[in-house]
Amino acid sequence: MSQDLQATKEYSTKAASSYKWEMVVDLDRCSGCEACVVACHAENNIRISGEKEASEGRAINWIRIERYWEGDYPDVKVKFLPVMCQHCDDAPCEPVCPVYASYHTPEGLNAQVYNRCIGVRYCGNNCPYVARQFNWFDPHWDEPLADQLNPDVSVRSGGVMEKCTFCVQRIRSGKEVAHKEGRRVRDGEITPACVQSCPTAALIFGDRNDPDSRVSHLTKSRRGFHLMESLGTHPAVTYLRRLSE
Amino acid sequence: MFGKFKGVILALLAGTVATGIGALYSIGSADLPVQDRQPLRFSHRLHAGILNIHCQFCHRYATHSPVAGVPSVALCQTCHESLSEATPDMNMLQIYWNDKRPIPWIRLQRLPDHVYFTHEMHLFAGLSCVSCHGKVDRMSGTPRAPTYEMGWCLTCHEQQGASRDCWTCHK
Repeated sequence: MSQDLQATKEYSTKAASSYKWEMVVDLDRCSGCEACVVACHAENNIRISGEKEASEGRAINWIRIERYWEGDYPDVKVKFLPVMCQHCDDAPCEPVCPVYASYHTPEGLNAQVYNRCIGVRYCGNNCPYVARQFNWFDPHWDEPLADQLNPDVSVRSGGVMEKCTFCVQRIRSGKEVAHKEGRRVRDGEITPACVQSCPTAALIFGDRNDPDSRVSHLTKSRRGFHLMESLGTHPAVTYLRRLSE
Repeated sequence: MFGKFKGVILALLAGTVATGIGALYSIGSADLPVQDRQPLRFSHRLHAGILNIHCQFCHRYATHSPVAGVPSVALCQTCHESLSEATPDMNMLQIYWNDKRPIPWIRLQRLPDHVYFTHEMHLFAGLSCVSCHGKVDRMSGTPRAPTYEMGWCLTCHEQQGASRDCWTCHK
């Protein structure tokens, strides 16, 4: 990304809102344990798909761990890459939605409004990160699993596209607490479920408009890169390269 | 003869069937007053109006929670145990209290699952209960709220300069 573009991006987001939510994924720390995947399922009422649906490509995961094998046995290396919605500033999924169900919030989140979605799946088709998933069926939880659903997150019905929200329900409640106390959200006060559950602290979440936040420091790291940077989607998720390549 | 009125008869028949189905459908979806009948004849006019009890004495979670809360039988009893009147409804309250059972109130105000609403932030912003719930202190039987539709919410959000971002209220 050129310096000019970076400056324009920062200016426009700062002018629009006081927060800009971003995430950093430190690949050197990720051990591929998938605790984030489990936490995300529990937090966001993600439907259970099962083996058959998964084999048909209909499983839903808002975050997934991509696994890469390098070399031949016994000299083999495994590399993990957690991929979730990148909350692109120039998101390819947004302009193609015919009903404006997919849009950008003033705080830099790529949002999906479920009750507006009519399920044309154009957004999912346009996402280069395959971060959007379609509900081919109504969700079902065996009793008593339905009792553990998170009341702060809508249960998506069949025919609706869904994706990672950066746990917007947690962002919302964090902002409410800060607003009532008349201050800004502190760094580290809001943690999405994946960030909270990561045992190696490979995921870091915070406000990019706060120059002292951990996210702001880490995105300037020389190890930083974005997924498919050449597409110009300007993701809000920055990856940090492994130290031992 | 029959052939001549065939079209008219068919149209009438179709109309009758459509009206019948429509009526059945509307019975299922309409908010009929009979659905709103509470197990006890509780009067907001008496409690909030005449006795001038503050809304948040009973709905005590409103200032610090998304839901305002319905009072427990124990909270009713804090006043009612020292009242000696014996109306049928007060006797009913005593039965619930003695049986240690909650009163199965009929919920009148309900938002769809895809809506996030919090009483806390609306009260913090300085809104009063009557702004949305109407003058319940003048209603003896509390009816269902007229409408909680998005346009109605947005009108106020626009007037008050509150957020109009979809994700403020949709979850």
